[in-house]
Amino acid sequence: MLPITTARLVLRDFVEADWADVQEYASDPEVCRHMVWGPNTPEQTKAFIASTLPGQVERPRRKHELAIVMNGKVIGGARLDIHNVERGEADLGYTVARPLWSRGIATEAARALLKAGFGELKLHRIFATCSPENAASSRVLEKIGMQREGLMREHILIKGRWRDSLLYAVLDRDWNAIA
Amino acid sequence: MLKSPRLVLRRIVAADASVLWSWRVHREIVRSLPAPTLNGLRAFVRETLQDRSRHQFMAVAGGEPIGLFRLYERGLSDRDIGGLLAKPAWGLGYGTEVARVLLDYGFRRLKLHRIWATCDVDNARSIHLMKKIGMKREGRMREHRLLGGRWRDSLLFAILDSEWKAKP
Repeated sequence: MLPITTARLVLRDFVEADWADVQEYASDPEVCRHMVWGPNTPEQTKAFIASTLPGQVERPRRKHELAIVMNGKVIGGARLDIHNVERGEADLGYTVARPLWSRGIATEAARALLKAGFGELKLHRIFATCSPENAASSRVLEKIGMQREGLMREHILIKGRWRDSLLYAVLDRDWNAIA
Repeated sequence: MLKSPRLVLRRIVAADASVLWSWRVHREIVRSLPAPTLNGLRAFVRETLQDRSRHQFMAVAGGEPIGLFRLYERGLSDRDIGGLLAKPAWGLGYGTEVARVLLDYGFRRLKLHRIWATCDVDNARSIHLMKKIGMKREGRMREHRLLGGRWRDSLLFAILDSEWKAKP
């Protein structure tokens, strides 16, 4: 499945040497505003990369925590994490460096993950959550064909504050109908 | 061990696999059992015993195991509850009683912030129970569960510690 190549991007496994690129966006308070993590110290970023390594070798593979690479530089991360093998259910997430916002990078990476998820991985349902205050992320999820299924109240603790999450999901047949 | 007026909730033990297996005689239960075979149930019990984040309990009334309930960790301060009652114990309010014990355990002892549960969109008993214990409906997850070869939607319910503690 990997690497996944799209028009502008390559999605591949993280390697330890990526930490400096990752640290550029993971230390940006704007990038992590809606995230449980960050802004990261270099140590936290190295620990994050180390935490993705066991998932790379697990078979059958469930965790796909991937680097988004553009022009040879890691400019973000994208995740497809299979929660329930029997139900074919996975969750999707992404992070993009601030200088590259509003250029469709997250959409392009997320679409590539849906294609692999519903194609090669034969998943049935892929969901994502995002902050009701994160309009840009909601737009990405809607653009890739996800439907809003609910609002989870005080779902996660972000920088000391309980925050609601919107729940979005897309089914394999929704995807096949639009792809 | 947790207690309520009519029930005791104890951690599950290896021998519970055959108790769960004996419940399969009721068709409505079979679909909710954690595994469809005795070996599968044994594996389920084994895995549960190995993972301390799974608070999996057997509800016992008058010495008789009547239900399997869990408070199960999935992510940060966001745990779910779930359970099934053996058919002969239906309609007696045991489910509500156990759920209240688990919420109290989760919010007061484990200091959770939020507890959620899902149920089949047509499971009127579970929907009624969740509303009765103060859970609020938050969404509908499409084709969330495979039941008897068909994809079924699930309803998502949740309750916050502030809501639980505000109850009279």
